[in-house]
Amino acid sequence: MKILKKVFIFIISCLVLCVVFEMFIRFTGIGTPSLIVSDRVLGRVLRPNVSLVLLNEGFYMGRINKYGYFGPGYAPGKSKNTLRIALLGDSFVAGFHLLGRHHFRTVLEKQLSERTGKNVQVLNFGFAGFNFEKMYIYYRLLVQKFEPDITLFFIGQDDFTEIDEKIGPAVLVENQKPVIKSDFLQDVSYERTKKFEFLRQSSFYSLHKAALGLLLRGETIKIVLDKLYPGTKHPEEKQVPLTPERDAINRAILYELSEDSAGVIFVNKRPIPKSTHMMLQDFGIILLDPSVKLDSLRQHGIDPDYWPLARRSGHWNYYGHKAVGEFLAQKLEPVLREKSRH
Amino acid sequence: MLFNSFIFLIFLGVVIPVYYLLSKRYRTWFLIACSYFFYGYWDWRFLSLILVSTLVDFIAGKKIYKTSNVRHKKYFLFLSLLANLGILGFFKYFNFFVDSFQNLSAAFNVQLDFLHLNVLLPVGISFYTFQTLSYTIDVYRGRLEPTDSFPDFALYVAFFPQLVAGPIERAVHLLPQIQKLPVATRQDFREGFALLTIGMFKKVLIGDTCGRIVDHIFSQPSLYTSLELFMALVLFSVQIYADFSGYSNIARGTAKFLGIHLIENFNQPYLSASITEFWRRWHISLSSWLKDYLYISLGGNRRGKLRTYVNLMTTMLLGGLWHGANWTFVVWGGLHGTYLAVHKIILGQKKTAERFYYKNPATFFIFLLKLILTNLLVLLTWLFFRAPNFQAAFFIIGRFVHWESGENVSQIITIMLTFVFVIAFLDIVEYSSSTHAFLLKLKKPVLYAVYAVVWYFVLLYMYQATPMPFIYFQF
Repeated sequence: MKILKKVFIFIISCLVLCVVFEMFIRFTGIGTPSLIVSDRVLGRVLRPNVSLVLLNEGFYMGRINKYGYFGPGYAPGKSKNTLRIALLGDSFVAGFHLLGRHHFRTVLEKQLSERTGKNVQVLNFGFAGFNFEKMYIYYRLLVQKFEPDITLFFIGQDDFTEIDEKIGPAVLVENQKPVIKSDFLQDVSYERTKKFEFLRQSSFYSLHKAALGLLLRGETIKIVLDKLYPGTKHPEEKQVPLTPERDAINRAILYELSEDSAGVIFVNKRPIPKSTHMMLQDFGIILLDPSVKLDSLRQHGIDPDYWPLARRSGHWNYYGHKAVGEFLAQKLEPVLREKSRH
Repeated sequence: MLFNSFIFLIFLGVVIPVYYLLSKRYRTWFLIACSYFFYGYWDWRFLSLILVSTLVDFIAGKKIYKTSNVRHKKYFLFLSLLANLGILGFFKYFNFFVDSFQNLSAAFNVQLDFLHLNVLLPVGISFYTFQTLSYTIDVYRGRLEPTDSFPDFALYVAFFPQLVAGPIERAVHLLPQIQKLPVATRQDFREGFALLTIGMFKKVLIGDTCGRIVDHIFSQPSLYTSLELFMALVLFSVQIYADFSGYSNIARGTAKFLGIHLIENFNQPYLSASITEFWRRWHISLSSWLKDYLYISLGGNRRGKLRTYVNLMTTMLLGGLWHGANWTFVVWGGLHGTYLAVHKIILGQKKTAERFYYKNPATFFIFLLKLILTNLLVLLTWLFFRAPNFQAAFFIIGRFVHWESGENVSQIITIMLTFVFVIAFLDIVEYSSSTHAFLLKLKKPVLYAVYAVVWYFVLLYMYQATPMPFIYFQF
């Protein structure tokens, strides 16, 4: 009986301590609940109203707004005299490696408001890991509700390839047109994810998920053995090839977007090959390329991709964001003036 | 090797059982080999410095003791000081003084860039240098009989739990234990594990997590608002304490597994009601070293009031410089010296209370006010300690003067308060239980639950985050 009592106290103590640790982890920002929540329309969306601290290349502290995107929460449907720009892209656009006020979204919004004298709102729909197909789906099913005057698709060559993402709608080509299919709702993995949604609300879970990711990638032995591990520490990343099916989907989407009157503009997040350039030209899509502006920073000894504390190159840093924001403001000012005239 | 790494836990898991399986006469050599491996894991080339320091002080100690000629004694003491301070000066301060001199000479268009050397700072050099110095000085002062055993002395210098960041042990305390190498008792193991657990929690889950935010903000202060900078400063004060006291706990816990008792290095310093009290509780092994070998050598308080203040200030300025080759550390020491001098003037003949005891609400309220004031004064000094240069430090002060909260206010306040609450909670429990191994006061099922959950989270976090080196490794 005594042993049973001890086991009972042990289990209760463990549970209480886990709750205490969950609070500690959450309040200090060591871990946050999963940023992503299941959605019947989009598969996965950013969890609204979550405060988070992220430390990766840089330092992010902020909140996902009540509409489920980064930055100020502008409601769907805009008022008169307001001009809206929507940003779509992957982690370059999501930008959770620096504070919101340093993000190019803020620079762009401020500069365009000053230049045009209008109320310009820039909405950041960036989502880490997105490819071109996902951007398109987000654009059609969510972004358009916010009535943007211009939508910027931030792309790089890797965005035109496949991503390993089962939960969410997919684009199929029917009669050379892109059609969004929501077959994922019948998928077991979606149901399972939905069932355990409550777990994703804990910071405890996100810590485990990160650890599980490392475990599955076979990093354990390297982490444990540290310097004594004989293998290479950073294996080269494999390039995903562009399949004919994927190419057909991309072309169908591009064709449709080129006919969109809402003002779709592409922005180069990383230099793209000439063939992609020409493909976009064929569809008559405007491509803005901030690389000249970023290169001029490099010529002045500032690397817009380098993060000194993390000691690695990656997403745009503070200087990069400022340069991109200024570049876009300069390029979009005449477009917005034209839009406001109509 | 970092304490907060898996490789250290494996190292410990091998060293402890092998140590007890070995016959007693091989244990000293085994621990020396382990200690050299521990240090050499970072950079084996600098083992030669430890070896030189060990040889010089071993010989100097014996010579000082044997000779009755005072001049000869002084000669060998000088030799020891020259060797140790020479190594320290060359590796740690050479570039600092060259750069400072160069900045001065640049005003006269004299270029001295060629004198700047590309030398790496050996980890823990200030710690083992001070430890070996205390040995020769104590022998010289007749307080200690030198050891005849070179392995014992070599282990005293290189004992891995405290080699790179202290506590700076006196030979009087550590050497007799090394000579005996007692077998750890069951209680030693229990206390050792409790200290190791608390130390890991402080280092990994408080120190490192604060440190990651602090590093980002201090690397580019101009990007942040007053409130964010203030958060970074508060978190740094939490980080440095969690980091260093965590290290000391791990060091003491590890040593206990080997039957060795190291001195306490921290005694709830942030619960001090005055700056004098703070220095009795913060980095105790260094402050007592500075008091015994510097302040008292300069004359202490025996040569009049003015000289006392000069001695105090000199000690604190040099203590600041001990931390790092940067003028910001000198200012840090200078600020503490000023605080201590002012407090001494205010106190007059009165003595500071050893620690607070609750009598009534009024005394508690006064204690609380004093505690807040002391911590605010200490917080200001941390700014100079952490800032990479004066420009950054004064920029931050400027931001504090022209206050601007910016965004994310509630989030910042929540983070700050949570970290402060946790570290204060640990200190209050430690204070009220009068032991650093306070976990042992818990009932067994609860204690085991604490161990299970704390280690689970510590290992989980260690697994996914690159371990951060201890702040004091660089000193």
